[in-house]
Amino acid sequence: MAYLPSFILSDESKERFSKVFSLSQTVAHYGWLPFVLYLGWAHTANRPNLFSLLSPLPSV
Amino acid sequence: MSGRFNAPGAGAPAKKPSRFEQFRQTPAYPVLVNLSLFVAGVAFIQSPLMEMMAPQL
Amino acid sequence: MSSTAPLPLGDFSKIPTIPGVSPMTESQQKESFWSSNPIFSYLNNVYNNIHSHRQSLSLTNPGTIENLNKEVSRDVLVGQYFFTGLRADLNKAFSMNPAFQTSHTLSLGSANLPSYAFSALFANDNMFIQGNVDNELSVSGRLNYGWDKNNITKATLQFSQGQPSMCQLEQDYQGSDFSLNFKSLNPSISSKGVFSGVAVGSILQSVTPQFSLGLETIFSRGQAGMPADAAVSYVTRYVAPKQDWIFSGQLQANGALVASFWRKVAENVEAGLETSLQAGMAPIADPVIGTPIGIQPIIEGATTLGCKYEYRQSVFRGSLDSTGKVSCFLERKILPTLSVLFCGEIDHFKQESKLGCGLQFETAGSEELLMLQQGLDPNGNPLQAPVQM
Repeated sequence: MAYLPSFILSDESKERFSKVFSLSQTVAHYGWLPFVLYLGWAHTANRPNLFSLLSPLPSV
Repeated sequence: MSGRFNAPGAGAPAKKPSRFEQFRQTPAYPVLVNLSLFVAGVAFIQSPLMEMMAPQL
Repeated sequence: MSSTAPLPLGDFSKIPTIPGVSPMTESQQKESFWSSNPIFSYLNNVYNNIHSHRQSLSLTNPGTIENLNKEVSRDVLVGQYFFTGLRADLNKAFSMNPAFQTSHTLSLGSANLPSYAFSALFANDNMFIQGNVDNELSVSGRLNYGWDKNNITKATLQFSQGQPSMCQLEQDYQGSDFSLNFKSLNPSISSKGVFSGVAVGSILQSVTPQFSLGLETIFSRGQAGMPADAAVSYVTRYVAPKQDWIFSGQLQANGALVASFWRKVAENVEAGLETSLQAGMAPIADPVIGTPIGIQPIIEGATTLGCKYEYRQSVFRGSLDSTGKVSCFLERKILPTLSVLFCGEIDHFKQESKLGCGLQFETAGSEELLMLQQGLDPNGNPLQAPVQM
């Protein structure tokens, strides 16, 4: 008896799936660090501006 | 028997490696060395010698 | 009809019983059918007995397998800290609680450090998130989330240009006397339901309050069509009753045996020792032709002895190993906002040496932290105790 998978995908939906997968990878690649910076920015009391967030020099 | 049937280079029989040299080639050698180093290290760290190396502040 | 009270048919408690024989004990009557039937009550009893026995052993959590020899390999030995060339770290802290910090790292003449890297870190009580990007645009990220005090989910991501990306998901459970960990690297399930990637499950169980034993199983399949690989590693750890020395051993599935020993010699001095033996196969070359004619087992071993001295302003680590390497790492805080790093290694057998120098700047992103770094509280008054940043 042939093994039947619990879900059968057509070629088209397989392609769509891999497209979504590679897109989410790109989003995570370029979005991870901005996300960390946003989280930190949102939780810091004095809300530093973008320049002071990215520059290594003391901002005060 | 003359030397003419000998393979070239084998004329002078290679000096037979000593018992220790033979033992060095076996895999047991690194095991033994490192295990004894470990035991020696533990003994050193646990000994008062190590305490003497701590600075008296 | 009649004034007589109805017969107490449903009241079984009125039925006289033979003394000593009761259909149900007091505690069983309080429980539902599922816990009071003979089979389940037996199982419950066994479970309760085991549980109370476990409680009586006063076992503690043994820590995780990942941290099995952390004291030696990550704290005392130089290896983790070593770098070559010049480097400068510019750390900028914006807030302490929750912690938020960015860092710029510049490096010159190093084999493994990128020439520029930027990283950001954010941590609060139950979350830790960190991201790192270098000049070649490769990004690595880490996210730890604690659901409660026993459960932690971790994710590690890595994306680099032109290389397959990596994703690792991990779940940690710390019980009262054991730790469980499930890890999966690049997991994927093909449409045929075949798992590919690496899956690791491990358990570390305390056997006595000092001694713990553990097991790690690895299942890996590179591609869906390939045959899978499975392996088991064994680990053990012993912590001395006074916690002043620790022994740990690992027998890894790839044929490596690692033993380590750690001792806290004094308040500020720690010593560590690590021995590793790696078994492998090497081809035997024909002495005349030079072609491989077979394979032979070989064992490589190395033993490293290290120590760590902690002073008020500086930390010194030194190590000496059986392959002829002597290395040291020195970290000294010259100002509250500036520290100097120095590391060096001499390989006596190969006649090689490596050198690294670095500077670490701590800058503040807010008024409050700037005052804190200079030892003042927000109002400009000196703090009682120096703050460790």
